[in-house]
Amino acid sequence: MKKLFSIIIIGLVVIQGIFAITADEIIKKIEESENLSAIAEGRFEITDNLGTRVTTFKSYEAKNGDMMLEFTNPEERGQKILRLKNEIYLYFPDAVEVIHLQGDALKDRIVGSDFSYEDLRGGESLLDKYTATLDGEEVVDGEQCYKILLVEKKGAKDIIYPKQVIWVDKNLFAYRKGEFYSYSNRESSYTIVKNMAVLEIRQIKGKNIPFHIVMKDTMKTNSSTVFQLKDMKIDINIDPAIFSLEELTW
Amino acid sequence: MKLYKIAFRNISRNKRRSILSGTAIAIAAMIITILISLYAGIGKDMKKNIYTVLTGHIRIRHNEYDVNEALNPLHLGIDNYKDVLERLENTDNVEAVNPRISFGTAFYGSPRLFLQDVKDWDRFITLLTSGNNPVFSFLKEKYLYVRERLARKGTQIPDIESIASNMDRMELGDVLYGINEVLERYVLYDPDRFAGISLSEETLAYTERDVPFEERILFNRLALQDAFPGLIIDNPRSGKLILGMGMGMDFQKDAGFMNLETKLESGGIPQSDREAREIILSSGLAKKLNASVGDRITISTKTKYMGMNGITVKVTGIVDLPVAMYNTRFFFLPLDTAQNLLKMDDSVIEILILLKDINKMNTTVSSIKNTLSSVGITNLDVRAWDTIGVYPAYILMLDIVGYYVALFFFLLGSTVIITTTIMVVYERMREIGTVAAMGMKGSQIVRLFFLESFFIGAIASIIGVLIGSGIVIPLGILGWDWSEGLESADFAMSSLLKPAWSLRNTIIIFVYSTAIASIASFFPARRAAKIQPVEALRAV
Amino acid sequence: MADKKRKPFILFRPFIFTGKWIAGVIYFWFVTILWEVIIRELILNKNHIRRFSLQLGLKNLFRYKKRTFITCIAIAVGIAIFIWTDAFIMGFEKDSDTNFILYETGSAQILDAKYVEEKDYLPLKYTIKTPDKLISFLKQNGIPATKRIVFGGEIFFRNGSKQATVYAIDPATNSDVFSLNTKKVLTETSVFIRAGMQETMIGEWLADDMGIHLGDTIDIRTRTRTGAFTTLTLNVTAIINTENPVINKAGIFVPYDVADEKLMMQGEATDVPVNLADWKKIEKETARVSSLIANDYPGLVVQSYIDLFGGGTIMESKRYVINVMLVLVFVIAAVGITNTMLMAVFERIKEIGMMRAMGMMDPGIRVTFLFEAGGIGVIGALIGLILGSLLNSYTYFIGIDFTGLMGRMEFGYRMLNIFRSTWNPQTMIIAFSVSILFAMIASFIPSSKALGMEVTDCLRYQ
Repeated sequence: MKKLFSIIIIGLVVIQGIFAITADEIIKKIEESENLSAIAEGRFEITDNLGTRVTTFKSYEAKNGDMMLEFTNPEERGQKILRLKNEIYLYFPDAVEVIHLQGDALKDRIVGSDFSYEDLRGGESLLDKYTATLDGEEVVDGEQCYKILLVEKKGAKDIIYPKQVIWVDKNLFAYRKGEFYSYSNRESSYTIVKNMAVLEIRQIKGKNIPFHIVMKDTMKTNSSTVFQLKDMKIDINIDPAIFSLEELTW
Repeated sequence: MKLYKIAFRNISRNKRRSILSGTAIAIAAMIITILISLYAGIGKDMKKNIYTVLTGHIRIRHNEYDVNEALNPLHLGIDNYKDVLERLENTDNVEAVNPRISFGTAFYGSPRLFLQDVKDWDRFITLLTSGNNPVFSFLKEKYLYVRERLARKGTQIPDIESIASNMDRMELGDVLYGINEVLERYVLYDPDRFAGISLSEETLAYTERDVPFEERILFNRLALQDAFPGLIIDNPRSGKLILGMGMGMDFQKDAGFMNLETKLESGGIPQSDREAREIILSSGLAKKLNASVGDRITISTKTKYMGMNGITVKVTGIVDLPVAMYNTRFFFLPLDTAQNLLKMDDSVIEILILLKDINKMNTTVSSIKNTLSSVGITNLDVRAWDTIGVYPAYILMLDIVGYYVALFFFLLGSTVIITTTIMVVYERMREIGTVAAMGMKGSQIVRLFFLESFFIGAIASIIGVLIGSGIVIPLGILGWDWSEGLESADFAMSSLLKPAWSLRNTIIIFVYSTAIASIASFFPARRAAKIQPVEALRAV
Repeated sequence: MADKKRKPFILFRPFIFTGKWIAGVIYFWFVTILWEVIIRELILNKNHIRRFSLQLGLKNLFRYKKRTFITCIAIAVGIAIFIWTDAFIMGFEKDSDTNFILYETGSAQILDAKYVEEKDYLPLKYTIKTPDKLISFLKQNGIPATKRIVFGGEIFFRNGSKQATVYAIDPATNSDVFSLNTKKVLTETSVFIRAGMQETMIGEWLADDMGIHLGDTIDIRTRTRTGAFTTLTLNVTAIINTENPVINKAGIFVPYDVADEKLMMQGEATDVPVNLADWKKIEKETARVSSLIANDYPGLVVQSYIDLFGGGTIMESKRYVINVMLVLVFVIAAVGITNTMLMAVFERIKEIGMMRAMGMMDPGIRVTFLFEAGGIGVIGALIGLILGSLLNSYTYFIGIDFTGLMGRMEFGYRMLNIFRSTWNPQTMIIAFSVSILFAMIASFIPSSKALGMEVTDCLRYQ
């Protein structure tokens, strides 16, 4: 009886989800699944007009959004990026001070990739900054997706891309594709500057995690960044000391 | 009687006239000497400031570096540079070589205390060592803890007992390192410790909340300022982004290039040791940072792999560079420290070469090219410094202006000499008439006057050139301080200018002045000799 | 940085800075004596004697034609070269200043005090809030002004991209301060950017470098004031070739209102360049503007083009070298003039003896010689002025062409390939009067000596 009851409840939720899901709900759902504590290993593959480089890292993420990323490739070994709320700190093994990134320095690219430090700044929901609207469904890489338009809210702070378009896998509730726009003086008011494609989504403990992402600067022909996870463990206990500046500086 | 004897007699007979015309020639010769040396000094100085600091006489780089220079392509370096270096050192006509890595950096606007941020070290040390003050007792206690923690990591800082005001700056810097570690971690403020101390509003605001780690040092600085007025200053670096140009180099091979060792204002040359992490700052940059010998500074830059890297370095010396443009931007560090920071492994960006004989530049360039290609190194660009970037135009410009200046001065000097000499001859028309009437031949008269002018010209030129040299040579040694005028000059001119006296130029000026004086007498004398003695006698 | 421990070697410095004063004292001393002589002459002697002195002086001038000629030449060449050298140097400086002012900065700028500190990073957060109000206020006070937003961006064209500094200018008022909208500057069929139009104007070297032609479309990517990406897609309607290499090499101009809207500047401006007519008194003028805006616009500062160039690089540092050169030219010229004159008078001490023996009064003789010397000075100086002006006309109108030698190089000075001198009436007047003065002083000394001697000694003088 109990079992049946729960099945009905779940069924109702699902049915309601299918029929009346809004853009806000989709995003909330994704963000909920992103809200996890995780330890992951992965790599960046950065291509620009100087060639291609590979950087590997290990990252730790706490449920509250704090994150620590440690580089493991020989060139950057031991360097750490710590994100606490909205602040970014850099730790270098040969420096006695932790560098607090502020202002223009946040616009710098991480290891020369198409991601900048400010892309790392999180803590807030997309919905705090953007108004989301569902713009129908499209097929991306053979998968049915919701297409969602995100347009900045008036007065929202720290907006880098005033408009984003994201494609969310209808079954997995994970990103499939993204487009990031700048303002523009053209009639459309926005110009695409970066696009993102998710090439692989893996399911871990019931959560759908993008494992392979390609980020491209649309104005540069020979520039791209590949972000690839090798391994990820989620919902595990992480020593809070990892996210402590104090520990980082010893 | 010999003609030259008459000439001499004539010169000494009318001393006033001889002195007057001689003075004109002497002054002209003197000024030309001064000016040419001065200009040569400026030119030589600018060139020297370019080739000793930036290019060498010959510069070797990866052949694709220049095209991509704007992208700072550190991966286009010279690999196995030691090998190349050795071959270069054994090449003919090579005086010195120096491997270099130049790179742009940002200095972290650190909230930490620098040595000069503490205004009164005696008081600071007394407070710390005496243990009478509750705030400093707390600081001392934590210092000892930090000392122990650092020791575990392998970093030694002085014990409290050994802290004294006569410590050298490097040791004091180590003490300050420990103090900064304390200030960064622990909150000094406590109602009991700060009993009776009136706090500023800004400080009070901190006391009312739980101060997060990254703000503790700011809070502590404020609290210290309130509790001990005049002990430390406001953070002069806070929020400032200070940029610098780093130059990794081999200090042992610097002789002949920048000679940094002789330009040290304080401190010494860094150790060539990856672990030591030491640098020299130019004095202008040190001033901007309020840094001094013993301070630890964190710098960050892009590595060869386009990632960021940061490193904390110790300032071991401050150098005073002659060129204002360099002196406000440059800092120097051992090659291996730079390689470590930039992840350059064993490569360098460029190798600069100084030559023994600069006139053999081209042959040396080609012999270096041959040497390199004979061992299979073909990806390097070997260039004489006067074919690099803007420098050829720069030098050309300098030379062209130089020629104009010289032309003007020779022209003016010649006019002075010529008018004086012609005047002298014309004034003596009657005398010419007299000697002609006494039977002296025209050609003899011309020769007589020529000789007179020649002697006056020669003596005056010698005097002029000697006085000029007498002014210029000491100036060339002592230097002439233009710093007032060149404080922020944006070109490679030293603020201490040394005129370049050269024997060759001096001889040219001497010969020229003498020749002009002699030739100037020739034409009026020849005319005078041609006219009838009666007419000449009538002349006034 | 200036270094206290290094002892300044001050051989020439006092001469350069106090030279003016020394010259002033000599001048004053001499004019006093001159007046004394002339007044005494007027009071003590009858008119006909004075007239006689004048006539004799002039007569002597033409009687000793050769001597006059030679002395005149000495003076003329001295003056000509001095004037020319000065014009050359001033021309070089003036051109660089002019090109800096007209194309890059304006003669002064009004900026936020904090902006000045961080100017290198082109921040958009420290601005002038009400530029239009400020501009109309300045206009009421007779100061033309315009507004700009200067920002850093990356330009994209085809496959290339480049970091650049972009100037958003107000096409309506820009020409009140800058000289960008002129036929000389705009190449071929270029049309100056218009307000509200999606147009851009770029430097010629930059255009060549990136392969951009008139009519092409380029993208400029930058950040708004709050940090969001913004892309300006603009039509290249103008390619400019100024005499300022920095503008040619990296200048990109866009209409103010386009940038204002897309950078979310809300009508604010990063700087307000003003046109202060008198560049020579720039410091005074700057101070005047400062005091003008001090009350209503706290937090704003006025920076002259010298400040903007980086603390007087153009003016002071080069002026130093130049002063030394001018002093040296001056010394040679002065020696030439004085010496020839001295010699001319010394030769005539016998003549003075004769005049005295014939009963001419001492003041009369003195004035005669002064008039003669003055005459030579005037003639020589006039010839010198003409000669100098002729030489200068060449370098002024035609100039010296460095094209081909310099290529598209740029090193600090805002100068292009053709170098032109300038006219500097001040130097001309000074050189003119000083040379006459020197000629007169030079004749005064030996004639005084002769007047102090016994008449018989004078007659016997060799």
